[in-house]
This record gives sequence, structure tokens and C-alpha cells, in this order.
Amino acid sequence: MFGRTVPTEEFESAALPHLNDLYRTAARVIGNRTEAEDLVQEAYLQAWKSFHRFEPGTNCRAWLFKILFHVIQHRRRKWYNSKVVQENDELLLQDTIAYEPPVAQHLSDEDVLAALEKVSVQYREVVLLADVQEFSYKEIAATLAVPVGTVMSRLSRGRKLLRAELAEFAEGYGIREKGKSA
Amino acid sequence: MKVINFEDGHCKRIRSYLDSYLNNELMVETNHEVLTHLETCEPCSRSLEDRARLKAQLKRAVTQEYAPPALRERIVSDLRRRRGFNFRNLSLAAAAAVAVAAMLVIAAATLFTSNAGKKPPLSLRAEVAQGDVTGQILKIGFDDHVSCSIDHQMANKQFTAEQMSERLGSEYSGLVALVKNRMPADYTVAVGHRCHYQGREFVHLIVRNQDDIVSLIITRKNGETFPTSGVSETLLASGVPIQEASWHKIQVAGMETRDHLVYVISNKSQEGNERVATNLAPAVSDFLRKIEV
Repeated sequence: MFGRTVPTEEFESAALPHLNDLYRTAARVIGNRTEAEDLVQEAYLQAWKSFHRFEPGTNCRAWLFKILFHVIQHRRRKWYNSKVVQENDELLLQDTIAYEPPVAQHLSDEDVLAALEKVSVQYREVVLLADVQEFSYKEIAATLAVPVGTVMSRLSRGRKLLRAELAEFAEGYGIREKGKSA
Repeated sequence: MKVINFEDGHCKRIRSYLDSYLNNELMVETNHEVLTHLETCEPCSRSLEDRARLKAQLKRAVTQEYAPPALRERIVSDLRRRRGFNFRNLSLAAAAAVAVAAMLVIAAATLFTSNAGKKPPLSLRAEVAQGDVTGQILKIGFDDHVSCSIDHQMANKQFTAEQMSERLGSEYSGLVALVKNRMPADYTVAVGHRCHYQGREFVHLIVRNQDDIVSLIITRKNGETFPTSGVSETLLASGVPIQEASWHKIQVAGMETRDHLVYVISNKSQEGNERVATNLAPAVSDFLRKIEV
């Protein structure tokens, strides 16, 4: 017997519809489009190799994201010993933890994306998975291989950092008076 | 250091709940507490609005980006090179059988070199005269309908609502309810997914009753736009011009929005297909315009 042979059409129709979501997430997490393309391509290849383990009817999108983040983490470890939390973020958090800056009404999409880019990756990836891709805490925990509690605390910090970055932006543009309370 | 105190500790407490409140994650009592506070506290309700707005804007900003078509092509050709077999699954004996089969394939390919490595042609071809721009654009939808509904037999499938919404993705999953509401009661939405033909992605819904199969096919424009000169062939349906063509007794009606091409394709009569297209056109173009903002 040949075991289960997997026609590429079956895989393509299940997996390719999620290409845009995988690519835009990878691009935002990595911050480099060429690199993101490579990682997504690698993720598809790995997904295809293990497609026989995928159970039809279960969430294909979540399964692909899990593979993508596995590939990203693997590549990251190869590049450098990941020191993901940078001092700046911690300082920023300290600085704003008791302070809720208002988010200006007239920020452009570019402003929002630039602010997101400034949030360090371990918070940024959780914000992307929760608020953009709308995965559940449990799904995110499985995707990133961390406990659910970690997902929740990173998400909370990530959102806070993003708002703080945007408040800085707004100040830079003079949209908001510096130091004005919410 | 800019640490600013809130109006009181209560505000601070409430604000720590606002993200969870926004996502419906609070217990009933806490939810009630937040609600009551928001009714009387202007700064906190403004903060809630900020968060909701930021969340929506973040999602919109990120999802505006699409994978480059070249990436899709690379992935697809990558997969097709490994076509058909998952080598990890094979036992040694099976691997030997595959090797023999592969040699046979190579032998066959040498005999019939003209078709080696090519995708099988569509079962139904649409002939379009050179210079017929409208026909060329309508053919894009027709070809996907033939490839997906007929050649891949998707028209015989029945997806569940969850499968459709997962395959369509959050951006387009709203189309399922929209189409169901606007088709006669004896029609059911059988398939909602994304499919690909010649490197192009299509959002594809298949609706059917006992006799007819109707495809609603949507794809992002790649520079195409219907010529405006053919007004005589153009029907005005609630302000949405519809173009028509027919090949092999399959009727194609097409229209466009700023960023999308939309097709209604069926085995109905010309009038029947036109009626379906006219029913769907205004709502579908409204739906797409919202995505295009």
C-alpha cells in the first residue's frame, strides 16, 4: 500500500487561501518583506510535508500559523540568541504603566503600523495574532508554544505599548498636548 | 517621568478592564461594574472608544497588505514539483513501486512531450476575438468557473458554514449570508472558498437548487476595467452596469467595483442568469465597496 497520498490540489485548496494572512503577519513580525516571503514559503513546504497529519475539518488556518511561527522561531534562534525584550520597552512600560495616554483620533494607517513596528517582537506577535487575526488565547498559546497566562500578559502589555507609542507619535505631530491627562 | 494619576483609583481599576470588556471577556459582575462606571465617566468612555478605534484601525492597516503574486507562484510551483506523493509516508517497497512508476511517467512523458509538465487544459474553452476587451475580462471568471466548479467538481460538494467562513477568510465570509438572502428560497449555498486559476486568486461561492448551479466569482483587479463604449450591451441594474457573454451554453454576467471584478455564472438561460446578477449586483458591490474603503 502507498499509505495516504496527498494530492497537491487538496493541499492547495485548503492551505493557499490563508497565504495573505500568513504573509502579512510574517511581514509585520519580521519587519522585512523579502525575509517574510522566504519564511512563508518554507512554512508552506513544511505544512505540505506534514499535511498527512492534518485532520480535515479542523482549523487549517491555526495549523498553518503554528507551522509559520515554528519556522520563524527556528530562524530566529539561528540568527542570534534571542534577547527579545529590549530595555527601551521595559523603560517605556515603567514610564507609562500608571498612565493611559489618549490615542489621537486622526492617525493614519502608516502611523499605526510604524508604532506597531516599535513594539518589541514578543509583544507585537501576540497583538497581531489576537487583534488582527482574531485567534483565541488557547490558539495563540499553541501557536507560540507558551502558556495561556503568558499570552494574556503579553497581550495586555503589547496593547499598552502600542497605545504608548501612538501617544508619542501624536505628541511628535503636535496632535496632543504633552502630558495632558486622559 | 510622566506618571499622572487618574481621577481616582476606580478609573484606574476600570481601565485595566477595558480591553477585556471590549473583547467580551469579563464576568457578568465585572462587566456590570464597567458599564455602570462608563455611564458616568467621560474620560473612561473616551478611552474605551480610543481602544475600539485603534483595534479596528490596526486590523485594517495590517490586512491592507497582500502577498506578492510572485510568492504564490513560487509556492505553487514548489508544491507541484513534489506533486502527488508524500515520501515520508512510503514504505521501502512502496518507494520502489514509486520509482518504477516514475520511470514509466518519464517514458510516457518522452512519448508525449507536448503535454509533459503542463496543467491539463480546461474542459470548456472560451474563444474571445482579439481586441474584445470585455470578452477577455469575462473570460477570467468563466475560466475559474470551469476549472473549479466543473473540472474540480466543486459544484458537487457541500461545505458547512464553518468551512465556508474559514476558507473565505474574515474579509469575505459575510458574502455567504448576503447571497443566501438574495437568492430564491430553494437555493442553498453549497461552497464558499478561495480558489486559484493561472496564478490568480478568486473568492468563489457556489449556489444551487435542483436544476441549476450558479457561481458568484470575485477577484481583485489587476489593471482590468470594462470598456465604457459598449453601452448598447450594457444593462443598468440599480446603477451597476452589467456586461454579458456566453460560451458553451454557460452564461456569464460581469461587473466591476473600484478594486474588484465580479461574475455571476450559471447554466441558466440568459434572462435567468441576468435576473440573478441583477438581484445580487447592488448588494455585492456595496459589500465590496466597504472593503475597498
